[in-house]
Amino acid sequence: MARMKFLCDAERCIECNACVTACKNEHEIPWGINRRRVVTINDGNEGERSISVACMHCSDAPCMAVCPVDCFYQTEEGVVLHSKDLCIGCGYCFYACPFGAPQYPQVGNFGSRGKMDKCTFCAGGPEDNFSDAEFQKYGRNRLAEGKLPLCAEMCSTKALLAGDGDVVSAIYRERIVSRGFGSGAWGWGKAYPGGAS
Amino acid sequence: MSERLLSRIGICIAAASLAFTLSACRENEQDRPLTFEKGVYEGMPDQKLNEQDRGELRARTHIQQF
Amino acid sequence: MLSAWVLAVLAFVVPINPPAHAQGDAATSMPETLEGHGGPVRSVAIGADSAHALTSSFDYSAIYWGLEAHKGRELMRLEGHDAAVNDAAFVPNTDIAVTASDDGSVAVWNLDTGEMLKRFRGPGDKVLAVDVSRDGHYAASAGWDRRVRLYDLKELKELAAFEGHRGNVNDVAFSPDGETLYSASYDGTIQSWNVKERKPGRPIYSHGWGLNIVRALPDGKSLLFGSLDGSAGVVDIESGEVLVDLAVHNGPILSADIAVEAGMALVGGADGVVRVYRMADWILLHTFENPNGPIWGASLAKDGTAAMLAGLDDAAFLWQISPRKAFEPPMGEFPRRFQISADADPGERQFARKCSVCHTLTKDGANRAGPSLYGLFGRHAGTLEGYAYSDALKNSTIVWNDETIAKLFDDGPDVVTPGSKMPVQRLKSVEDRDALIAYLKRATDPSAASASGQ
Repeated sequence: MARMKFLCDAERCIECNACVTACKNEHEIPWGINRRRVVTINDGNEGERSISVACMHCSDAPCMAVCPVDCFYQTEEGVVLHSKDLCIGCGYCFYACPFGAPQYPQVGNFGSRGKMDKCTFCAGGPEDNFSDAEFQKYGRNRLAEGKLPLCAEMCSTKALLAGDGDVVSAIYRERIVSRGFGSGAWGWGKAYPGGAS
Repeated sequence: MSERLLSRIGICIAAASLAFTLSACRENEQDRPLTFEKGVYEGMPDQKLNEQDRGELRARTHIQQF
Repeated sequence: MLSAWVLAVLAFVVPINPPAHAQGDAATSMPETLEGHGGPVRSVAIGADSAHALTSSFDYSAIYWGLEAHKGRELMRLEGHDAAVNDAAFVPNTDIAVTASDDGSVAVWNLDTGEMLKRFRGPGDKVLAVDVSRDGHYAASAGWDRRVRLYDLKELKELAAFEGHRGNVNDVAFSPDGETLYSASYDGTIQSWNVKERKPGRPIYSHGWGLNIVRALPDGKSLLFGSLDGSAGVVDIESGEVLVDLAVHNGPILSADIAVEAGMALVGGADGVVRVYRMADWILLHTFENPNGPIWGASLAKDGTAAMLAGLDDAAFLWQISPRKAFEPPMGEFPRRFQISADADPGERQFARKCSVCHTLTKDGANRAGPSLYGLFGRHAGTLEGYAYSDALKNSTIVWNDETIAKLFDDGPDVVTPGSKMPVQRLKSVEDRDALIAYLKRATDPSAASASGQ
């Protein structure tokens, strides 16, 4: 099986923000954190496009390279996850990520750094699958239930695609052929250079 | 004899060009070291998906086609 | 975007005369490194006199440096923040500096005495950046509470907390005349704020992708910006139009600086690439690649012949721009000190990966974020001399031994030593925990000759 990838078809995104809301509800994410958001570029101009952005689970993830405590790991499916037990909330990954994916909770106790939070591709974390600990720290583990990320599964225009990278890119290629143009699968080249798995 | 000589010359050229290539890759000439060891995750191991799950996920990816 | 690339390529093809350099150039008089921090350096600023610098670090401190020929001298260590210090700025024509920290506060310091003159405590969210107006009257901060704060440095009071950004604020910059403040946010916009009237100005530019960097350019009419999508450019303040697209980085833009007199601007990214442009026409003059990754902080010397750069290393280092000098990697076998061989003792590996970022095992604490663990067993918590403990630990009754250390990692510092500066860290497996404790016992024992883990 090819690795898991996200693809956002900017021609189809209607900026409805349903993916953002679905993600928040599914994982019961606290206030102030958005694992997914919709970015609008060229706002108000001719080239205006909206793109749904979260962690792209990069092939050669820059967050992994800068983490001072090596809290990241990549699953066999290519999903980039991290251990909140190891994370020291230093924020370095935030600055390394070209998609602005890492988030930090509003800190409660003075001086204590909040653990980084980001999109898990709905794959939970290192804790036991379906355990309370896993849900509390990382959210629901849909992949272990045989389901794909909710943001993509519920996207009404199918602007956001998730799953087997080969299948996802084949779907996108077909679309470009049938509509005759494509403004680009945003972030695809950056996250998966050379189509590497 | 001449064949041996030729092969020797060949080896010399190969060695020289290899040395040249390597020197061109020397760290200070590229202004950076060429190896960078990424850290290794040593946290709690995660559970892996089984083949059945993977099959389901692959099938579900196709559903997004329209 | 294409034109910028063409320019970038041309810059390599067409030789551009570097500024004539003579005796007294920054390049020939600046130290190669500024060594003294015990953690990665987050920012660096060369003073207007070219004889001093300020750095801020993950080790919870900032350092005031004297830049002497080829040697950086630590003049004052600014200690008092309770988390990483993200930015530090000089207040022109004074002996005062301003810092911003992950602990949510902005602090004003006397550089002669090292005294913290004032601490503005925010709501607790990270503060990423500070800027000071050229007349030294005002300071401003960029906070992850989504606010831009304005401070009066003469009266040492907070004047305003501007609300309007819909995401973390990552950077602030005063206009050259000090009347306007510009802020860049994760929400993808640059906003302006009226300093005198202390009220919102207007949105200047919407980039879509989050913005990490904003700098006011000396013409007073345009801003330099850098985004997390790797793009950087110059935007017109009046129209909000992008005037120049600069070379795209293969990672977020994290740093920028302007040398007004030399007419040069520098942009640095998470890809480790630093580019220097001539502001008159935005032609790319120089490119440099940092071997150890991101450029979190950068400061151009006044004459543009050198820059100090900061990143994952514990030291800021000099990039000699002209005359160009080959870069010598500052590190040994592994670029980061916690990377040790996989066949090391399991306890030693735990220490290297999870503790050594903040603690040493030797008598010398090396100015890390946490105290040295030398002689740890039997020590009363919060009693190592020379380390600035939080009140929580100063008043603690804990004595460190097998049981208390085991408890620390079972329940986490947030439970065992609440209010301390130690980030939440737990060890899930009993084996890892016991291996770490066994290693610590050996390596921190003052009577053992083998205490050389660092």
